[in-house]
Amino acid sequence: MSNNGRFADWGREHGRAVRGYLLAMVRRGDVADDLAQEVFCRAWEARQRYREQGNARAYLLRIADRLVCDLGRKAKREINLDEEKWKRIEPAARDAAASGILRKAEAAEQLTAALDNLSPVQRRVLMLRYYGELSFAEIAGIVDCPLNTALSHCRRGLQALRKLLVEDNR
Amino acid sequence: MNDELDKLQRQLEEATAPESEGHVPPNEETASLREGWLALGRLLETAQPVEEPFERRPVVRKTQGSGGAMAVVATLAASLLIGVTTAWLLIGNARPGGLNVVDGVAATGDGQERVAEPLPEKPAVQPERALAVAPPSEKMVVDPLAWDDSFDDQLALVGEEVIRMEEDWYDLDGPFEPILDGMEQMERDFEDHTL
Repeated sequence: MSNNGRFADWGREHGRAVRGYLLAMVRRGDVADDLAQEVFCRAWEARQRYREQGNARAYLLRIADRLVCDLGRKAKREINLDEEKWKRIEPAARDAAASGILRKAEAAEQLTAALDNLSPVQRRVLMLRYYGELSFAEIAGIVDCPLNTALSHCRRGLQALRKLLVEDNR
Repeated sequence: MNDELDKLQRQLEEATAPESEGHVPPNEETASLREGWLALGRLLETAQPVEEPFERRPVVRKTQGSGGAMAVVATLAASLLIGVTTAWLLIGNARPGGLNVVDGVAATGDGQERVAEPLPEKPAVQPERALAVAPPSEKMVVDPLAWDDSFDDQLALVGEEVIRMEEDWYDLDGPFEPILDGMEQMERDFEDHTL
């Protein structure tokens, strides 16, 4: 398959997963969009070295994961706004119904709390599993840890999520 | 050790399998982990539904053939424009009275009519080349599909102006002489290190 054809297929098949993963990790749509674009740019730049073997989604998510880690290292350079300031400048949706906005805002708040409750590695493992539907061996490869460590992160993460989202809501 | 690892892996694969009807976790512990997984999934779907920008945006593919064709069309258009301009220049110079600019009204896309203003007359630097401009006549509605002669006339005017400017440029040697002399003097000063 030509490079152009392969990239078009990748965009259709894995674009959603890549952007979803990035969005869950950085939790800002504009940053996730930029990073998703960067993922495909980097994949395009490395197209000569790419071999048609293995899982393309895992390959793209590996790039995405590296970009997220790089972003985390540079995070100190960013200015974080407090909740009050963010509410003032946050762009509002134009056409969504008010109840939908409210439901989404509540869910976003809950999601933020849930993800903040996880360690960074647990978050990476669970999001790679959720958006990438990768095997645990592939996830261990991306996170760069042994398989049993990846499994352990996943298990503890799920337990923490259950406690926060299920038990505490009862 | 490996058995335990396999068991844990299978359990987590069960717990984190995509949501589907009829999927029953094999034991209570797996069901408990799956509850957390499903709760996370529902939150993610609600809080950050991921659009599919890669599919929605139309992909415009530029083929090599279309690029070549565009270049040929552009070249032909440019050639035609130059040809028309040259022809009008020749015809305009051959006419005893020069070219006439016709005042008219052009219909615009929004249904309004826009009056074409006559070009202002310039002082006759070279009377033999000055164009006779027709006096403004009454407004008349022009069929938008009809050939617009005034456009050709304007092209001819532009051509005339270019020729005149070129001639004027060579005539301007005189006023530039002091500047050129000054620059030569500066160059000499640079070479002599006296500046």
